Amino acid sequence: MRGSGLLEKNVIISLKDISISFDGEQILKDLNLSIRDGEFITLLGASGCGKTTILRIIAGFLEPDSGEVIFDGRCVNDVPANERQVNTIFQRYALFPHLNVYENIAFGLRLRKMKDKEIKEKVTEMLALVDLKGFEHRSVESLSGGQQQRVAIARALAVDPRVLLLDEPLGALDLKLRKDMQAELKSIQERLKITFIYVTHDQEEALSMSDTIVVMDQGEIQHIGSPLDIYNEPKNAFVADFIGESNILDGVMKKDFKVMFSGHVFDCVDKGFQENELVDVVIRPEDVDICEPEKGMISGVVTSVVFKGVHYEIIVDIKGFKWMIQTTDYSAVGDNIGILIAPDEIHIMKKSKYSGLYGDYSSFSDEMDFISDVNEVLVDTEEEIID
Amino acid sequence: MKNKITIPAKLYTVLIFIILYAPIAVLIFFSFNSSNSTSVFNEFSLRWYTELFNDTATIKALKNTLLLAVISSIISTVLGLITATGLHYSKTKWYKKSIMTANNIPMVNPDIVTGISMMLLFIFVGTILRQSGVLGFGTMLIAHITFELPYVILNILPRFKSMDKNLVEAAKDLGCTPVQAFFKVTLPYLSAEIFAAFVMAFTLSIDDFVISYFVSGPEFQTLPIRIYSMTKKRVTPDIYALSTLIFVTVFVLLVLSNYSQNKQKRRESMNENSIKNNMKNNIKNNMKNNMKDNIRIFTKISAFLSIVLLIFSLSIPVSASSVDDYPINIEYYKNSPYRGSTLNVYNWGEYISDGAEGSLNVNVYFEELTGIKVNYTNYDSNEDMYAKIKSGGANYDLIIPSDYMIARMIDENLLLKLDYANIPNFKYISNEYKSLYFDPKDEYSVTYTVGYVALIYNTKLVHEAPTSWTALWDKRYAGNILMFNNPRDAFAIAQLILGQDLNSTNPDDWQRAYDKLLEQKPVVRAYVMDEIYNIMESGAAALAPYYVGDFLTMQENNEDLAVAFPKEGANIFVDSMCIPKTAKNKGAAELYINYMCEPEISLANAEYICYATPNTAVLEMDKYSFKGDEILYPDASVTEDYQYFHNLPAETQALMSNLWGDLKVDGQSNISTYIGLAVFAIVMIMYAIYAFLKKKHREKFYD
Repeated sequence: MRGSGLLEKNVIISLKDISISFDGEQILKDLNLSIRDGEFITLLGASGCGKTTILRIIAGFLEPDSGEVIFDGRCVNDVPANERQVNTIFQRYALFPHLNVYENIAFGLRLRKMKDKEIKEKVTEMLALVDLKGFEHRSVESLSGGQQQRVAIARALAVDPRVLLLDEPLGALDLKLRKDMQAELKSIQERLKITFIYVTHDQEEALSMSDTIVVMDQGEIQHIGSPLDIYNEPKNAFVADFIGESNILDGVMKKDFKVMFSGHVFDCVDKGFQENELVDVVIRPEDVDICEPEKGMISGVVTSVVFKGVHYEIIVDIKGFKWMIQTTDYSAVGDNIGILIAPDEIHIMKKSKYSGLYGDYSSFSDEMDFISDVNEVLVDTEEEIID
Repeated sequence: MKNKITIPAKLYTVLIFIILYAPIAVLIFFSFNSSNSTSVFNEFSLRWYTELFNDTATIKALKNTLLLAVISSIISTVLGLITATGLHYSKTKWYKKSIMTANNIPMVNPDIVTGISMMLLFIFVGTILRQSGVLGFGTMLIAHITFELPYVILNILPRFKSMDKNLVEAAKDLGCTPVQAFFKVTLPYLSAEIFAAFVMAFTLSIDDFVISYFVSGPEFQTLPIRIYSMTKKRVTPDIYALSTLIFVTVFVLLVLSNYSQNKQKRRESMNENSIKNNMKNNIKNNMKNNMKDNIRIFTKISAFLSIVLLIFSLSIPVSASSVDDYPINIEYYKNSPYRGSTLNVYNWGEYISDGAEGSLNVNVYFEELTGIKVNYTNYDSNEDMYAKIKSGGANYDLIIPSDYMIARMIDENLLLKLDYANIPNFKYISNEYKSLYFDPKDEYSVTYTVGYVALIYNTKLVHEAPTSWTALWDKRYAGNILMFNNPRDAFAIAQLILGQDLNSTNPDDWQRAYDKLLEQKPVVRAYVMDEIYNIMESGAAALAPYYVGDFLTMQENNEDLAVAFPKEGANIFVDSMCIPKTAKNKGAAELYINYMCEPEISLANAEYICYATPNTAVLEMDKYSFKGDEILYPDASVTEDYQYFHNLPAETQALMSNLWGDLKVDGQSNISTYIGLAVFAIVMIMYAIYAFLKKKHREKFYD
């Protein structure tokens, strides 16, 4: 269990029993987290889950109501932001509009009373790192979003932080640029070998960049683990749903390695549950094979088929539960199909407060997905205008 | 797409420009006039520009105005910035809201209310602290800061709101303490708005008349107050020159800032070409940059120029012209025990020889002679002066009210008895102007000037010299007759025709005089005061009653004008020097009165003001250009039955004001005004009902 990982080696930051509330609303509750030196750790969750709050507490912009922030073995609760060895990349870059690119990057260095020559060397080095050579004298307002983000990164890294905090740094960029910057950030982190604490609501971003992912909801950590861990062995229904697509069914552990759901007893690889314990069963859409109805373990009727390029995404009604299945085999709406699931594709989770909330695709449609995306984009644009 | 400007659009633009700039064009044009007329252009001359720099009172007022504007706008900008910062970071919403509401009230409050309430407050605080005469530079500064502050806050706060709060965090993150972050990031971010707020506060301060008027004291008066108080005589054309200079300064600033903005734009557009990848962003940023640069450049230049102007005006030497010719008992003044003290003189505007056009600067000479510092400020009417004295907020040592006002002030115990032993030159005052009705025992006043009302006519339009005030009722001159635009003077003429006592308290008399004026109304072209100069000088009207002293000024610009002394008589008036109860330097004031009665000083004033002087020594001087002038000094038989105004009882005053109001607002137009207002109100109400019904109608379909 990493949450109590204080004993672990190389821990650079640990949060102990952090609680904070705004206007009587509890944002974080007795949160414990340790972060190893040099790792790329991502706090993942929907907006309002408290991930940015954690970042701001580490940066020193917020003081927790209770609990301790330990940095390098020392409690830093009373150390103001300007004296902490952490730096932040803000979602809106927060570049100083009255300074040019050079002066933005030199800002922290000048505060450290460095000599002009050293500053020049450092700024040049940083500009090279973020691939912005020759932009020294440009006004930051004349740069594109991606270039501004690079300046922000250079500015933060120029002061040699031990930990870099990134608050949804790519949220305001368009998709293609975001992909490029993801790779670039990862490579910078690998080169500099400093700790990155990255906040995002984009699970794909989290999966592709992180060493460790912390999935959060309602101010509590739901799951800490490697991307693979989180995808394959989600701790509860929330994590399973949040990361990728999942069919989450109510099941009963008959005994070790035997679980019953959808009226069928499946072989599985999980054990250690009580006999007849109610559990949540997760099956990823791509882990289901389809076959003739009579050959399947269970069977149902196809209600929707969408061609996705590499595969079809089909919704199958099995005993009233709508499954999502991703398969390369074509079937038509109305077809009766059977499905097969290998034992190691079945993941059993203990019942939690999230049980029964997720995992049924009865209201699913592409259109719905699209609308929710649009909303996100709109919100982003609005903020930009206000900015 | 072609964007052609249509002809009506062009015409409209031209029209707007004419409306906006015609007044300024006229002002600039007449500032180069060699004469002081505002209707007749004699020849091109820079006379008024030279006059301006010799007009010490105006230059001093300008200096005061700029000084007050600079100090008050700096303080209010700093205070406003602090307030805006506090408001921005305050977390309590209702608190923020109520502060903003409180902040906005002074802006919608009429200036006059603000002015009066501040005056009362200052005087009240003064009373508590047992201080009289609190009004002065300090109170003006406080008042200016007070009315500038809301605008400063309103200028800065929105920019604060639009500021990314991460900016300050980023600064702290990179190592700034909160204070460093404020100075290194917040302040530069707000700089354009702070400067705009400063410039706005500066112009508001320069502009303000109403509030300044109420809270100003004896030793500090600003330009707007000075210009306003010039109405006793007329606004001197050096003010046109000053206004022209101010306008040109502002204009040059604008052109310069536009020029540099264009240069900036060209540079920006070159930038734009090199960054094609994010066009939308760039255009937005460019617009933002241009706006900001524009403000920055403009504010920088204007700040620079206003500082130059301030230094320039401060460095103008204040000097008196030589007075070697005037034998005055110099030792008497030199050895007065009041050397080093301050004397606050409160006089009508343009009512003293002030050094203009080579005349003697009476006040400066007095200062040189006695070592007493003279704070010379102006008022516009007896009533204004009375209000200031009565309020007790300002300590004046010497005032020059008119006859009826002296009567009132004596009644109300607002004047001090003079020690005539300190005023030996009182002997020069003609007996004719001693022991007048308001001061029968010569205890309170020394007469300064004498004037009376006469009938001015244009000989080109009126062929036989009128002998009676009834000429103003003559239908032959219908539409060519001007009449006083002040009730007491206007009623007096009707009363003279009716053979009444000008100070009658019988309501029937006033009613009859009213009927007489009503009868005259159809032939009257306009009821005017100062405008009379322009209209008569340009020959646009045939007949007008006015004060003789001012007739002489008019005649300089139009030789066709002549004056008649109607057989019914006229109103005669004197303005006399008095010392108010609140005086702090009575001895110096008496010295000043004595000085003003010195024949040479009296002469300078008499020449400058063009009113008759009561000083017998002056009347005999050969160099006095109005010596024996038949207009200023008509035969005693003409003036013997001329009447002074007395202070009217309150009820008679009220009756007169009401009747005057009725006269000015014609019964017909009165009703049509009300009808117009009623129609407007009905239309507004109907529209409100319509809008309400439409909304209700639509709401029915919402569910």
